[in-house]
Amino acid sequence: MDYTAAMLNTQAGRGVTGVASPTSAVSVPNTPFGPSALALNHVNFALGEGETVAVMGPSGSGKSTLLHALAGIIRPTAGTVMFRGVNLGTMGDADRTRLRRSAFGFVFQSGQLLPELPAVENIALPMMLGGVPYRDATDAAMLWLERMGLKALATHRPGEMSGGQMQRIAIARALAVRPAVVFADEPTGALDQTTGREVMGILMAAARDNGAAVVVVTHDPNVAAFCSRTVTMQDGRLGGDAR
Amino acid sequence: MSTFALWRLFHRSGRSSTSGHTSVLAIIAFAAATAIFLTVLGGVHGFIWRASADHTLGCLFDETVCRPGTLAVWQHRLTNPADPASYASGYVMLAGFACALLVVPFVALAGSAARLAASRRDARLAALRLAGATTGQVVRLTALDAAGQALVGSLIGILGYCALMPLIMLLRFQNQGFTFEQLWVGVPALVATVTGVAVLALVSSLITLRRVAITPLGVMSRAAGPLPSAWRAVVFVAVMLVAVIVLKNPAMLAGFGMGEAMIYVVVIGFVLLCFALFNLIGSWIVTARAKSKSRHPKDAATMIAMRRILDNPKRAWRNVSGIALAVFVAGITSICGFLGSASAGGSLNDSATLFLHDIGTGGLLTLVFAAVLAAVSSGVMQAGSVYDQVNEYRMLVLEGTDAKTLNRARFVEVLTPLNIVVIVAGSCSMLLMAPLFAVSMTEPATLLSFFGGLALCYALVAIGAFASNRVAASLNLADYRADD
Repeated sequence: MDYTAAMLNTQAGRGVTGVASPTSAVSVPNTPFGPSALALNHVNFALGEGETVAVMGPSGSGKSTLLHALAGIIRPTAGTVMFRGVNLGTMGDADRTRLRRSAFGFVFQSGQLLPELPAVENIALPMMLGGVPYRDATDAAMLWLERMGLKALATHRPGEMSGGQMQRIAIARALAVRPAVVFADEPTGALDQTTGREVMGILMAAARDNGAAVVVVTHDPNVAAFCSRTVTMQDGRLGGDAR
Repeated sequence: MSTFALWRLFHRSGRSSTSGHTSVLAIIAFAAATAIFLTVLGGVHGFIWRASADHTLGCLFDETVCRPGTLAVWQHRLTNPADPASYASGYVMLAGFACALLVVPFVALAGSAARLAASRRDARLAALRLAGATTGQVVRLTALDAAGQALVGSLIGILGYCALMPLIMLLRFQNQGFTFEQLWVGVPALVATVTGVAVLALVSSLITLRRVAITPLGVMSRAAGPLPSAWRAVVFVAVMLVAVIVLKNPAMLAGFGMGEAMIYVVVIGFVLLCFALFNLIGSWIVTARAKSKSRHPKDAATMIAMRRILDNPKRAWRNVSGIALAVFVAGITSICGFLGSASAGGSLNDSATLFLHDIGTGGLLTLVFAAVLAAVSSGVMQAGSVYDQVNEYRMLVLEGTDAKTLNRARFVEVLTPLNIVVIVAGSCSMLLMAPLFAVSMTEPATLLSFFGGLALCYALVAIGAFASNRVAASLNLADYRADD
């Protein structure tokens, strides 16, 4: 996989994709960064096929901004993000949305499952968004549930599950479209250590079996230990590899 | 700390924008409900003014309290069959009937607004509990908030009522236009309306709060109740059958020793009963339809929409329940309007013909008001749900869901119950009217009026849905943690 990012700088709040107005988080006065702070500054990052990378760093260092730039959620104000020979920065919003849907998977800290949908439909949703018929999508989702050991929860809704079960459903959902890259932003942040380890083990195993690369943003060295490479961020700059 | 001090703390500057947005939505809903209610009440007042010898309510019911000299003039007018005054009490009765019919969508809208005011403050209410506020304090605070918004909304509604008055004055009933004196309900009625709206909001919000548990760790919905059972449908069908039999053979009622007036009461009673029962089965039909569609949804938007309906069928029904009334009224008035114009023979001078013609006009007005109330209710609830689900929307957009799919899901969520309402309510009103006016029902004028009414309902609800999409478009769905 040819996936590189060379961002001279990225201002948080600029170039936001989707239905959006400039984000309020940066425009708020008294922010430590000021209204035109650089969230990323001269970042060079490359991700290999099936590679697993942890991005660590203190709060406000730019980890999540890097993840959002890599995923095409935001556009760097200068520099390029290349994925399979295409610069994400030159793609239109609709194309980037399609790319995120088909080539990337996402696991967030919490709250990404739709509360009204049962587990099986939550997993089937991204496939259906890609045009797969309901029956085929739910059949594939059932296989994922079986694999995660959660078949019994197929008709349960997120409100009826534990945090660990919800994260496993989120992992199944992220991998169901067979993405090239899975982006995980603090995937174990809302879980206890044991469950967190279990969830990370499942994420890494499932990604490896599907040949997907993984980028994990985390504060937790135990989580980073699951990845083959760890990079650190400080004040918007990418430091050397920790491993 | 007193509840008022807590309220002040809760409303300090820097509050979340979502909370502010939902407050505005609730106020808009209260204002629309009040303006329309007062306008209809003004119409009732106008007909009472015309039907009373000295233009007072007391004189209408008790001739002994009429101002001296006025009664003789009035009774002289009643002897003239060409004078519309001979039908004046009929106008009052029908205006009161229309007012009573509009109570349903009015209460639905005010209730929706109160629920909106009372909900969607989860994080802040939980934070207050965490800071030590008691459940009672938080409940009182939220209820007061809803009542406060109702107060502001109803005061704005009074301005809306005044603004609508010149338009109402353009309408002609009994061959004459309304005057300000006729339409002005008076200060006591205004005060009573504002108080009523505030109390309604207070009660609705307290009922809403009974369904959630506000804990220091968050606001959780209590376990959802079971889905509506099928026995409601059985009762509805049985009553409909009895109603059709009774309306087909009104002479049967005379056989029970009922007078003509009593027969009218029974006929109107059956129509109202069917409407009331329709409200009872509404959520059941919506559930049945959503269940069937959710088995094999044709796309992701339909799947999301059906699951949202099944999550809370009552909410889905409430969004469009006002339309049920509008469609009922459309069915009845299209026939009355046709009869009025058909029997006129080109002349509106005959007071009986004028009466039928005016029933058609009045019905059309009731239809418009009911449809507007339903559209505002639906639009406000949809916009509220956009704010409610902003986090899920944000996640979906980040994962690659296009905004079009989310907008479509919201639209299907409203359209499915709306279609059910239109089909079932339209069929019911036609079925009930068939025994009485079978011949008139196939007339092009009747059908045109009926389907015109339906088109109006769809158009207004579509505007409400469009407005909620604009709300969604204004949200920053691609927001992210800019500090990291």
